[in-house]
Amino acid sequence: MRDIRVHDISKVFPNGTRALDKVGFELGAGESAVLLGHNGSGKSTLLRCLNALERPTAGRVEVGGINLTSARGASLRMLRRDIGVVFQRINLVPNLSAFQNVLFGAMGRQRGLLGSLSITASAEDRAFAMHCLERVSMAHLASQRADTLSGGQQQRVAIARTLMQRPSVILADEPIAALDPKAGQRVMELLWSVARDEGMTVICTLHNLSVARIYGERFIALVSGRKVIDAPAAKVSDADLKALYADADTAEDDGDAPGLSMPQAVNA
Amino acid sequence: MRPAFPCHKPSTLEKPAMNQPSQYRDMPTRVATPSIFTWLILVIFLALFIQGLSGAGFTPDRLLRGAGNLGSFFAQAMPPDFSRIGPIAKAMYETFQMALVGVTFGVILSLPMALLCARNTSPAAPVRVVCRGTVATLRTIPDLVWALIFVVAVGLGPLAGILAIIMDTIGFCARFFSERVEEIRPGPSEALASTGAGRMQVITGAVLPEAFPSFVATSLFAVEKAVRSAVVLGLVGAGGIGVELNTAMTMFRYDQALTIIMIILVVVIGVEQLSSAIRRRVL
Repeated sequence: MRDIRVHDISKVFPNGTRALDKVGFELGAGESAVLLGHNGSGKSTLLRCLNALERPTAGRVEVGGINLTSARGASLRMLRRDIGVVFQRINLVPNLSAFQNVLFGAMGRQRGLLGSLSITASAEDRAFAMHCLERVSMAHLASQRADTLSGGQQQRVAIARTLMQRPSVILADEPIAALDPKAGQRVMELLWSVARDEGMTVICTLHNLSVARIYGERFIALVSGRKVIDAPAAKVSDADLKALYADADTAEDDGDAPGLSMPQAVNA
Repeated sequence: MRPAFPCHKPSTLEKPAMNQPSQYRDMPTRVATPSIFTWLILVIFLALFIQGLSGAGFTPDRLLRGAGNLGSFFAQAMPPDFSRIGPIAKAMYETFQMALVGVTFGVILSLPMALLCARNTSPAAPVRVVCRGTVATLRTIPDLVWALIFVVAVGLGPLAGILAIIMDTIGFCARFFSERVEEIRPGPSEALASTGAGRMQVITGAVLPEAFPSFVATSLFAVEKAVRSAVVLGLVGAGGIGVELNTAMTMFRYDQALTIIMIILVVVIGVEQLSSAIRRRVL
């Protein structure tokens, strides 16, 4: 069980883009938050800072009381293996099987080069990988190549890989943006039930406000890298959320995420 | 009587007269005017070309005589002499082995070299520059020159040929391997890094599996290339069937030479067919 403390982090990219501007919040162990904001608002950068895939230019991030921002090498690896990331672009190794991909989740625990290849993995790891695949109802497709699976199936395998890590924190970066609504719903249900069962701390960015309403206990919203909303979901009105995306048309759109259908979702 | 052009009436929509050259003053020319630089290159090329022709004695009567000589070569080579088929087959087998052993070592050495050369897997920029320079040098020196060097170093025989093929294969494979590694999508590598995997684990887990089919295809090309060059390497004494061919030619045993050429043809075509069949399966 780990809590997350973000102390006023800023991120300015080398090209001068200010992606985050003094964002700070605390999330208790086992709690969950949904991160909102339109494209280019800094959601993904914030999430990436929580796994040290990006380093903030100012401020610091503590996960379970340990400073992630200054961690390097082995201590960074130790921290990372406790923080599972589910990506929007699903990021499985395409020409390996679902099973092999799930095994890679154990890499952080292994030493040496060949730690988690299917030929070198321990019997225990192999069994746990199958257990993880079962947990996401993908055990029957364990030996299928990842690139032959549908988008929803691939995201479930990616979640199984995250489970293989046995993390206490899950960061999900628009996990359903690349999926059709039905597959997206199943993936969200799975993600949340897994996180609840294991008592994980979850931060999930979402584009779809109606989905956010279903799963969000707490909303954190960013506009141009600044935190504008941070409140329990019940206290955030639909109008507030709508306002968040109202100026989306005028904001710079990096066009990287598909389907900006939030306004309709609010009306529905 | 019918009017010649019944529809030729003065139109209200007066079209611009197309035969007036002044109409489009800035019309692009049919061919872009070559710059001085282009002219210069053209002149240098022509000078070199003409000098090359005359230097080589590229004259019709020499070509005619050559064709005659070729005729007498084939006349003497026909029918091919299969009496020494045993030693020839053995030499061909040795040639093939040289290629196989050389490529195997070459590919094994190419892998780390490629990872050090590729932008996304190289540990540091200076390492990358040095490795790229090394690979480029290996590639620039022709295999026959390598063979000459290694004949001096380790003496006549297949070992010199194998070493030459190793050098040639590294120059070829390390370059294409590293280019493939640079084309890897960053996503899966980043996903593994996010689980706490180390640099080498990311390479074995995400980079190599994705690049593997391409590595196999490139290695098979290297085998084809090596079999062809192994044939020639014998000419400078680096073992294999080239030695047999050289001997047959200098002793004017064109009938035996033809047998050797035919066997080379069969083996090279066979290797190419086999390798493209495997490539189709892997890719």
